[in-house]
Amino acid sequence: MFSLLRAEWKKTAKNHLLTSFLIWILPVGFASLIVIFTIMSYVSETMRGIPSGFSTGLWTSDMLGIWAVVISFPGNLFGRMMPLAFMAVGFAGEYQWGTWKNILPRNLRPLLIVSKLVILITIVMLSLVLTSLIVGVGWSVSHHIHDLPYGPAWSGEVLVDFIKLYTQTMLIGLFSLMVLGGFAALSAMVTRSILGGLLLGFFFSVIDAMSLGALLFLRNLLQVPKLTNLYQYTPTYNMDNLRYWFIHGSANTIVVPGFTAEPSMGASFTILIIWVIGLVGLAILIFQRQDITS
Amino acid sequence: MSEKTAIRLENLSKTFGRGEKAVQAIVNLNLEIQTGQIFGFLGPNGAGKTTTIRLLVDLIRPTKGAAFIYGQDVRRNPGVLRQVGALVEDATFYGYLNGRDNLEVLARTAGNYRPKRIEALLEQVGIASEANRRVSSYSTGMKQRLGIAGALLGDPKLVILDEPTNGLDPGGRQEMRVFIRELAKQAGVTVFLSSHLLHEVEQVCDRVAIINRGEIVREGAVSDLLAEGQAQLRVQASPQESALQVLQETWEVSIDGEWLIVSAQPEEGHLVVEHLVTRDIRVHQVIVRKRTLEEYFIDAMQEGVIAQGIGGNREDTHV
Repeated sequence: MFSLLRAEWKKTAKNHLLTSFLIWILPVGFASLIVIFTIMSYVSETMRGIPSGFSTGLWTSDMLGIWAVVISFPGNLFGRMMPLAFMAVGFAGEYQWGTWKNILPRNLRPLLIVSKLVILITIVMLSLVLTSLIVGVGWSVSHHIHDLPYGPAWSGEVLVDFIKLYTQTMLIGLFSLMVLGGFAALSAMVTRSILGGLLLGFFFSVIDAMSLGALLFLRNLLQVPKLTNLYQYTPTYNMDNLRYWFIHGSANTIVVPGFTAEPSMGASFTILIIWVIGLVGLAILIFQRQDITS
Repeated sequence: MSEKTAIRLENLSKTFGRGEKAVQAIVNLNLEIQTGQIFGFLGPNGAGKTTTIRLLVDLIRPTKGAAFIYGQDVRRNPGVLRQVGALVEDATFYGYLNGRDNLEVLARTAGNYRPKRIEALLEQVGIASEANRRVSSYSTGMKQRLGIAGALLGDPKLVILDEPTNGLDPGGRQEMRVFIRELAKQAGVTVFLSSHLLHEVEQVCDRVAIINRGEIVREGAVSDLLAEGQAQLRVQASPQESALQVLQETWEVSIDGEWLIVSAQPEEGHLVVEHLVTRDIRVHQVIVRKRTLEEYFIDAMQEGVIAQGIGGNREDTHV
């Protein structure tokens, strides 16, 4: 397995075009923005307030905020597109490049999917961690240059709380990426093309992110009051619910007609695990039975 | 089943699609290939060569029948494919990686990464100096060479090569033929070589099977197949009309420009010359023309359909 992971790492990390435009653009983009805003506010009196305008003024919130692009609605609606595209190309590219046929024997296929998923997720996670570090350090320096307050002040208690919350947020981010990876793998296996994989993956992701709206529409159309309760089974809701449990210690009781569910933390974890196993398992099943003809 | 049998195909069939759109690519293929042989798999384009190879390495599943490698059904015991190295259709790689990295990825995926082996193979297939270049900048021939290196990474006992000389120049083809022969002789590797280049197969292979429209139409040792049927003697003599009359007394003769084509066995060459000389006919040249695999192939094809897309060279031997 370790050997497979090394192989996947090599072929994914060395695909510079793919990683540059879909992965490293995030930390590089944020670093550039912070530098540009800092310089602009330094040279122009009227732009002096820019750092505080784009930052929350708290390094803890700034750093955690980066993860919102993959874990919570509505940020995840578009924020998940880049990691999803990255993973879809990772899977579907093998069809387009005709490289699956180099893999013998067939019983390697499930391990291939898993190792690819592990590497793709690891790279996205690295990018998000790096981005949040850049944001925290960058805004901190920027605020310091302009003598603006940037809290909270460092203390053991703040640090412990932050690390705890950051780890919990990363865990939700990991689930989000595993679900996205499942969408990407499944889309690639079904369509066998990069474009098809991207489009179907986006479709799955948008359906998940917009599922509450869709369920409300259907509820009103079909006059089934409890239909919105189905939302509790979606990845998006369960990631939000986990975040609520971590931050508030209670379920995310969204105020939506017909939604009465209050799933526990364990229930949300279970549902997310079922989603991941289901999506990845289905992708493996399709791949395992598939004829490689190109 | 004996360990001497490297490959056995048993009623192997493959149909693509369903209903009216169904295409029968392979029909009841039965074949046995012994260990240590270089086996040629001949057929026109679209005959089912690549489909057979894909079935053999379990890239696609048969509709009926089974493929066995060293006595193991490849579907039930896919682990047996660890003893197999294959180049299926055109060599395809990650274009953004260089040649060496592509081999590393292949080796690590198969769990047999040995840097020294990679370097040795790059040398062997003649692309060591280009190993740091991105594969996207490789010519088709270089990719084929890299593909062959990829097939040999795990020191396989059986190597399956699908049109390995595609894209190679004549020099490269010759090198590849030598390479394949050495592979079988020195390393004792069994080679299953699919090709539509008859000259290539004739030069390299011990045995051959001809496939057409998904069915094997002929199979046997190359020498046996070529020995089948009548050989020809090509005679240049003057005056040609007198020579024709003299030879027609004993053999079947036709005229091809300055040549008389005599349907006689090579060992009858001296008799032909004797007949002519004793009648004061001057003999300028006598050539024994061996039957080529190309001719054999065309005969085999003509029993079914006309061969398409076939290349090959005739081989003439002066006596």
